[in-house]
Amino acid sequence: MKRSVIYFAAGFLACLGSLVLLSRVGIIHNKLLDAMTGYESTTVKLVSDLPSPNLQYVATTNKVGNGTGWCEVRINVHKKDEVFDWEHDFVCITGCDTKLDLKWEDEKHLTVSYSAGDVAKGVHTYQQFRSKDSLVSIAYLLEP
Amino acid sequence: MGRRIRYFLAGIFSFVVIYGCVWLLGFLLEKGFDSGFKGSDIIMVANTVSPNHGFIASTYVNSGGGGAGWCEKMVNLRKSEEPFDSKKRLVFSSDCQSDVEVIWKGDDTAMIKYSTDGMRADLFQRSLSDDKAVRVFYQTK
Repeated sequence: MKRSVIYFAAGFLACLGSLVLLSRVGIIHNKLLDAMTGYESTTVKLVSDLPSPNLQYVATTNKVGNGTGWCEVRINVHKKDEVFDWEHDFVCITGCDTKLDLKWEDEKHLTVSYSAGDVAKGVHTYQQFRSKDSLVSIAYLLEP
Repeated sequence: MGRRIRYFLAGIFSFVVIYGCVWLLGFLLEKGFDSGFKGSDIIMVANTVSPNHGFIASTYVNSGGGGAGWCEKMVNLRKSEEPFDSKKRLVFSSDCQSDVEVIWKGDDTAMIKYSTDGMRADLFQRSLSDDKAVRVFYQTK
């Protein structure tokens, strides 16, 4: 009885192992396995930290993405030394090919200039006009 | 020996069956969602013709998917002789509540003015028409 279970499990695991192996070497693409093995795990890369003139606030730009090709840029405006959650706290989201230029006009006004990486494709942006504490005003400017 | 192979094959078979069922369930769910969100309603808001009548900018509302669906206000920019197609020649989209107005500044220059709720905006913008003949500028209301 015990041996039969071992052989059964061996067959089951051999099949699972083959599928994982084929998925990892890229011969087959399997979303379920990607999710199970963490292949889809998201990476967050700091692009820039831009402090306000009085150093009270910081505009942080992060590039986030995963192995499936998803890639976006998220901007957060937060108080100096304040810890924030990149996933839920943001004032702007756009694609990784968008050209961005951030500039503090003064202590409470940030301007985000943006333009499409490919003019033919256009640019998609999610914009919030105030920081989480509402004290910083954010203006967005599409560059021609 | 024969029994061992049979148990081994049964293990493989069980995996294939379980995997197949999970895959089938996912496939059916995806198809179900796809069909639920497939249809969209297009309501024309305004057609604005360029001064020389060479181009036309159509402002329209694209919505669908029921209560949990989507609603966007869009601008399609095309040559006047070309028929309107909501899936082509898109230059601008915003949320449904946005007040969108197209103003021609010349035969090859259009200005799209749009309003926001003052809190946030979800925008798609293109600075050129598909044939690159018309330049598009944007201004918030």
